[in-house]
Amino acid sequence: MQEFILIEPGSTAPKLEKGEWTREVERSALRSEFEERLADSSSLAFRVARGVLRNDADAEDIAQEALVKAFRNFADLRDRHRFRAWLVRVSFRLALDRLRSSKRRGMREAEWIREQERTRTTEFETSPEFQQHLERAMAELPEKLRLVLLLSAMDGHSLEEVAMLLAIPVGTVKSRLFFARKKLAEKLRCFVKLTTNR
Amino acid sequence: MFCETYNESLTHAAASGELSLAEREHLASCEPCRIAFAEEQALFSAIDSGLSIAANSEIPATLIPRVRVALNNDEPAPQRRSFSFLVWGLASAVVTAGAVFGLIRLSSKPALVEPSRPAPVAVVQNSPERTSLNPARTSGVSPLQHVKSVALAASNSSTREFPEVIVPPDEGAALRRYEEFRRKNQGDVVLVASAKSLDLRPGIEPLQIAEIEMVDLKIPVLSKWDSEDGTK
Repeated sequence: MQEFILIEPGSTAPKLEKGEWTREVERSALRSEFEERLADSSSLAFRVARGVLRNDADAEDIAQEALVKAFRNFADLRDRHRFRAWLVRVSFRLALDRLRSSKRRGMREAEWIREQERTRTTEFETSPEFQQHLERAMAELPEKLRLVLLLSAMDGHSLEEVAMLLAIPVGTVKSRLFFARKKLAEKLRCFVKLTTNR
Repeated sequence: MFCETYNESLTHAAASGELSLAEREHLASCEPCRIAFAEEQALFSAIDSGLSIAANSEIPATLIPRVRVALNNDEPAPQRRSFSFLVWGLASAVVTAGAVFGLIRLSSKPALVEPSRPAPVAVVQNSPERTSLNPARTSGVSPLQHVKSVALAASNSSTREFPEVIVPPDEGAALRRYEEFRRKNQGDVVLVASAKSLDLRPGIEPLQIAEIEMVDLKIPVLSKWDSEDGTK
């Protein structure tokens, strides 16, 4: 059988054995398939990480790490739903690990406060103060509730899709979502009342 | 604050966004509960808005290029490595099983070479001066067979008529002595062997027996007077 090799202009063909060529071809095919999903999956990984870490720079690091891991396991994760579910789990886990680093947490909090002071607005719901309280309240939620809350809040995620991503029944998603929102309301109620009475 | 009776159910309704008929009727008739419910709805609305902001933050433009660079620098997929681990594991298991089987077989067989014996060093090759361990093989055949084998050896000189013999050094010297002795007495040996093959002693011609001629027996008739007085 004749083999065709793509060589970039100006480059020389690397001397590879037949087995190595086969591996290279397989890797190229995997890479191109992965590239097709990169935009969609990178936003998913970043947002999950961002929801946990509340910091863009850290979330970007985690998303990159999760996506590289995803590519390494991509041969086993070609099924679209399985891939996204795997990516959500890995991103969430990596983000939690990063969050547990106390040194980084201190730096992040300080940076967060500075960032909020720069972009302070008067709108209640979109005020950085409320957002800060909300995200702190989210961070105090149990992991299972927090992940359901995050995925449900992401654009284009129905309850069925969240159930598929987390491999749990839709009823479980609904109940977790309900308890998560209720807990957030308990934590934020006093703050909202105080703000509205000013 | 909700009325005590509806506190639980209206809080639940605000969180889930689903109102029952009884709750609707109560809200229509109770202003404090209506105000409290509106506040709860505003709270959940704020939470949802905040969640949406938190969950749909903009993707940094640097993320995808960073991932691409990381992928380019990354090694090939490890699932191939796990496959190769599997292959190597199986191969090593097969080799180990083969080695164990071979050891068992070796331990069950008697030793081919006595341990006290020295290692063979002298090699007697298939040469003109080669020595056969079985002289009868060349000389102990009938003359006709010997001629045939010599003719065969002459026609196909490349094929070895005798195997090479590997002997220890002490036996090698004895073998050479035997070869010299055999070469000196080769003629006698051949003669004795040929005689043996014909079941005769040396110097005795084979017995030759002429064919027996079978003739009719003729008996002459006696004269009369000879038979009467016995005189002629």
